[in-house]
Amino acid sequence: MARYYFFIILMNMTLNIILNVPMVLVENRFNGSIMSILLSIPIGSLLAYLFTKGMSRFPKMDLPTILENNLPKYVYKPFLVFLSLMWIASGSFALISFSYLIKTYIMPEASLELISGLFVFVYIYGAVRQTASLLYKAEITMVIAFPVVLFIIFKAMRSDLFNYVHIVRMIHFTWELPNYSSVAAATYLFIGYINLAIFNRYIDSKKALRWFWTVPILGTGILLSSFFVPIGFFGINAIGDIILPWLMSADSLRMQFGFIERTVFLLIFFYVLMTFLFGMVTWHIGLELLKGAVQSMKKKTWGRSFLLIVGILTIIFQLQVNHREFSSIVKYWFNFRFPVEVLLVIMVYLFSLRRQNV
Amino acid sequence: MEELQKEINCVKEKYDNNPDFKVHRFEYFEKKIALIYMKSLCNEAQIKKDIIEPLLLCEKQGKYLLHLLSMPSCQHINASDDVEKLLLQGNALIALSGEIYSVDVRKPTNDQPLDATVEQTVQGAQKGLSEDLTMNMTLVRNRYPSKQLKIEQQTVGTLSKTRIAILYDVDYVQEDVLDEVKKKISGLKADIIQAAGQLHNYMTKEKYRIFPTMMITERPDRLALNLSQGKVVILMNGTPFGLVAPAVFFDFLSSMDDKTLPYWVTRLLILLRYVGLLITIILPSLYIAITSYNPEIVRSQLALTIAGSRAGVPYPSFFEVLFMMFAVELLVESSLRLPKTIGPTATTVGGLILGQAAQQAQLVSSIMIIITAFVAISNFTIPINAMSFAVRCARYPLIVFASFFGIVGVVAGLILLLCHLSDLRSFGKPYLKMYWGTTDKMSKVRESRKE
Repeated sequence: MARYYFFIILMNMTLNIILNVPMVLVENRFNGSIMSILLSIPIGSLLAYLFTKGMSRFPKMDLPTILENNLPKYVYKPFLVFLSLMWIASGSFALISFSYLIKTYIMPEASLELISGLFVFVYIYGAVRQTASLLYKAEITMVIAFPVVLFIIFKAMRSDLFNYVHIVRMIHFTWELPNYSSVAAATYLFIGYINLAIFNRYIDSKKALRWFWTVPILGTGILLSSFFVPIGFFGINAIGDIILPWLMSADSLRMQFGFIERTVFLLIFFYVLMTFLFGMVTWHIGLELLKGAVQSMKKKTWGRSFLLIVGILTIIFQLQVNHREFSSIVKYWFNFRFPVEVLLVIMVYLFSLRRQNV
Repeated sequence: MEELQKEINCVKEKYDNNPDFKVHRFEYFEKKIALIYMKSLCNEAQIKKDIIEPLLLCEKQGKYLLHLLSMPSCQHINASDDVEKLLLQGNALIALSGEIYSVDVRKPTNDQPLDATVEQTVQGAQKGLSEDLTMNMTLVRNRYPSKQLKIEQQTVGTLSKTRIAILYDVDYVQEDVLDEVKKKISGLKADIIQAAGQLHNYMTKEKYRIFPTMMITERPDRLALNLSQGKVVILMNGTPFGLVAPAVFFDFLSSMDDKTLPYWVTRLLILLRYVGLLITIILPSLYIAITSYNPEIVRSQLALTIAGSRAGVPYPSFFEVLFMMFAVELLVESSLRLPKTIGPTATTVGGLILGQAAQQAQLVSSIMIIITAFVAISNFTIPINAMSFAVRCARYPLIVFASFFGIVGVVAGLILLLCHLSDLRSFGKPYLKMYWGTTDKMSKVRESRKE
């Protein structure tokens, strides 16, 4: 079952363009984004390695059980609730950014609540399934969607509008000091491993470690392409005016002989697939972590109504803020998330060391 | 033996009015002999040949008893045996000098193998199962002559007492599946079970089910193949279909022809089926999404063609789709149930209406006619009928989603379908899951048997 680990990681990596990672990187492009990217590859891979290594010492155990065995009750329960909310928030942010995107590109007449409502419904339906089912689904979705993403990247690189000159110009800004926001955003690409917190029940993480070297390679490729390809299209200055650089680059591509002429639709369809998957996975893990802390959540109706409340809150939150405010909130969230991730990884790794000594 | 005598009297009183209950008394060896059987269940020619004729040939009672007991189906009844049950199973009881013997003289019903009509192959075996359990077991045994093949018989249904047989290969069988099958059969609560699909319904926990989680097949060669793959086969008396557990999604899209045709031909046919599956599920909803929500998705010439053909149609696209889907479903349903002689009339009339008139009256667009035909014929490419029906059902939620949310709704509907399928379990085995490696390798009979 080790292969599911890589599909989940791949899902997080490819989805970064929806999760506003390029936005943060582009904003800081003159203040050390490239250095941050170069720095975040070893940092992200190291965090991923440590966490996977740590979890592999707890075969078939999930995070709630590990914390329960290692921490006193009044520490681990609030911590689990907090983690669960973090997970759910990441799914909700994906939901909000994607419903903006759908409103802009596909359904301009539909109201935002309707689109988000559909997302919430699908998220909840998927999130309350069995954990193993989600893994099967993740694999099927990624096998279908990832080749299309590769195709779009390939098509973008081969396009006449894509100028390598812009990229060379961008590389002039390499020797700047890295900044914290960019590192926090860029490491978000590698975050997929963290879902092992629950999926460790089914994934044999020891086996996954054998193929771990693919993670930095994939991460480098995807991170560089998601940062540089839009720059190749729009130039280093104009890119700053664009909210979703990747969508716009894809919209400059035309499939001359296809049923669908505008590549952007292809991109959106397959990213909808992956966003649904991402939301299901994050909300599922959020719910499972919460089950570890609060016993009554194990009941079907309680878990479902919790997710429903979360979904309604997400929609309300979305209606309260506009797109610009939302983007700045996401930036804060990236900055906040990074230390939590580091804390969790170090914690699990230390526990695993202790387990070895025993 | 008095108890037995009492019981027989009791049975006699109970059934005395029934015209098919027969008590035949005669005298031989200067003793009274009684032959009791249900006329409607028993083969009287066999009674004559196996029971009465030897009686005339034997000069001593001992010799006759020896003959009786030498018949494989004959048994000496003890007081504990249920006389009534034996009678209803088609045994003849012989009361001879205070002792009672039973001989199995059941009249076989429909024990000829039928032609495979539901699941045909081009160059595979042409005969399917029969309606008789014993014959079916023979058919499977002939195809799977392994000493490891184990058959367990029991009955289901409190009233129908339908005989079923559970078959499996002792070495290959997945024990957890076998245990679950047995547990579910013993926990069955039903009065009348007469068909394999019905048994399947009673054996699944979920009441509201669309997709089949057990394979229903009429082909003995498929049964034999599945036995070698470690699956559990359930055969039933009175129906020419067998059940196979566990069955995963991909099994329902495989035909027995896949084994007989050359490699690339098989790949092409399998690809064709999956494309057909995709078309029959999403095409109607895609039509709604593209015409009513996002005509800009398809290339402009195509969008114009579709718009042009819809120009005269007075109502929204979802109505058009529902109307045509409804008509096709009616056509399929009517040609299923009609007697063979009137069948062609229905298809001709329906085909005319759907094909030409509806379009010329501008009730539907001509593109919709093409889509309808596409959807219908691609639905028929699914080799297993149960799955084909399930897919027919599964496309309506997608139509609803497309009517409300357009193209995003179609994708969402597909995701929900995927969620539902991957969450299903067939006797503990995941229903939809990627299996890496070729099917040949997976279904290959291992040379060395499992320890």
